[in-house]
Amino acid sequence: MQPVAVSANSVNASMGQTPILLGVNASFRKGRWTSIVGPNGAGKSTLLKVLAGLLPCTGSVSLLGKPLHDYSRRERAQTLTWLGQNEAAAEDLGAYDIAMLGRIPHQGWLAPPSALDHAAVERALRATHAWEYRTRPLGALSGGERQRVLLARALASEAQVLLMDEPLVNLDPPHQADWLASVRALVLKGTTVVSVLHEISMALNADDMVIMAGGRVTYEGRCIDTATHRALETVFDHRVAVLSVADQWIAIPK
Amino acid sequence: MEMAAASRRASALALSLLLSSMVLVLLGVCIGSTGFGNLLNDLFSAAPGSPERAMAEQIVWNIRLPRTMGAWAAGALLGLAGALAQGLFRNPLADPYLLGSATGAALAVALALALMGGAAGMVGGSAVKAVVISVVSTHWLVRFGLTGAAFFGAILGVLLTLALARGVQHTLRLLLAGVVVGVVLGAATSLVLVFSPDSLQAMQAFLLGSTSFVGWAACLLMLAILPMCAVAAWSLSRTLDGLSLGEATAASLGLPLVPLRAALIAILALATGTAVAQTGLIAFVGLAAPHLVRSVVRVTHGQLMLLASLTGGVLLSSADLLARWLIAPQELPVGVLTAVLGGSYLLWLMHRSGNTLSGRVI
Repeated sequence: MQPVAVSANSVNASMGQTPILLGVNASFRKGRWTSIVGPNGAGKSTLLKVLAGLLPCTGSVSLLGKPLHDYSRRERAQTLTWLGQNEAAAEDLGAYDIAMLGRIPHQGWLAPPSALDHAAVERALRATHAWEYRTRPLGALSGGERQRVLLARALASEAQVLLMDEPLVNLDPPHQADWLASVRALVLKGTTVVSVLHEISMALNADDMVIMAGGRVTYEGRCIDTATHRALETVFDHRVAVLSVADQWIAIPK
Repeated sequence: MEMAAASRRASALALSLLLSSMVLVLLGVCIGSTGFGNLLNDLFSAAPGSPERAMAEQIVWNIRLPRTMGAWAAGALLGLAGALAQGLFRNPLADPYLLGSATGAALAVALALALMGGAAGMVGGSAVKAVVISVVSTHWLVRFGLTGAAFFGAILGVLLTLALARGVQHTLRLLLAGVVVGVVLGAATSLVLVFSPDSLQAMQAFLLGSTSFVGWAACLLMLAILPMCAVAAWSLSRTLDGLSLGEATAASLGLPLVPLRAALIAILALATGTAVAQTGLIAFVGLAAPHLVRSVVRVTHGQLMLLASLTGGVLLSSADLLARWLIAPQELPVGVLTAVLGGSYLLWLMHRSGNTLSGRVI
């Protein structure tokens, strides 16, 4: 079994006065893709923010065997990338400039982007099929094109751990398939991917699954295990059914 | 290749703005109530040491040149501050006065005018009494007092906004605090003017903005502060690019947001405070300059701030020339011109956005 890349231990977090995470324990293994699923308001996005060090919490979070707070900001950003849900972006910046922002943790304060930075940005934009409109400002792109650019921004960082919150928003099925291929390729190279997904059928393509409800982790297991499918059906009050179609697990609403 | 084309377009814009600035400075030296022909004649034809030539040299060297260069520098400071404010607040309608600097400066000037008017009366018969208490006065005591008051008022306005917003962590809280400070200090200024009606006319000149009282000291001060602010803002521009993705994403990129935002606000306050202290409240230059740049090129915040600064300089120099030329030998307050031109531009922008929006809906 692979070592743990990121883990949350007895984590509690609140948004204002409202507690969101209640003693969450979860671990995400290195070089694997884990999807986090659960009903609305389960605390999935909050957990991802806590894992990224973007939200104060009690308990502890560790990254590659070291407490997260022992990392400097820069080290943390080089090691771990977070892609937010409905990420805002300047309409004026070009797609290439947005993707280049992913390289900030690797750049000196006043240093211009290096050849390595440009190469990483080109790889990321090509991987998300955004290279052809790299010069266009974000404001001139459709929702799906914009999402692919933001995804490229996350990929350009080439971090060891990639946290993505609803990365498939606005993507049509062919580009969802491209995203899946990108994630698979990253995992093959040893990257740890953690994604919050509301498309449960897509989430079932992951290696592992963390199921959340009411601010707690209710189940952790492999996506191919029947027990995981039963836990998934239970957390959604048996209003979804997990079935095997053409050698692939899918979830359909009941 | 297209990236290189965009970069070339930005360079061409910078070059044309620099050339326009030089032409405007030259025109600024030539245009005034004395007239271009008369002045040239006195400068080059009158005998050296003659009163005509001395007068012409005095007009060019001590009045027109500092005023023209000062107008450019004030516009450049406001253009830079406008681009910075719009990036910092992630709002294309943000302007440099948003954090309470304008109303802070206005209140301080109103208080200074009220106090100096009283002081002049009390001293009675002294040189101070002979000074016309007005923002267009060139007497050093009055100029220093009003300029200093405007500068410190602007800085105090920003500090009050920061205190109300409890720091710089939350953009929305900062914006709201800026609005509250603007309303409260505006009301306080009105109150001061009610109790000091003698200051009304001078105050009006400050509120309308004017470049007519910019001398060498003010000009050099602005020209010294401008590169400092431009270099500091440019060195932090990556933060603004990062912030354009949202605060959480910017933090996830490893950017230390709190100190960086504090530094950006300090630059904004310094640039705005310096310009306001020397020229009063000149409207719309800070708002319009970044938009004008964006209508020509799409660039990152670093380039945008530098180009908006040059554009602000060109805008205010042009407005200053028009203010002097339109009803010569009388002069229009330059702030009125920038408000009319800037307001028209804003209306056009809204109209254009409306068309784009309806186009998208269809």
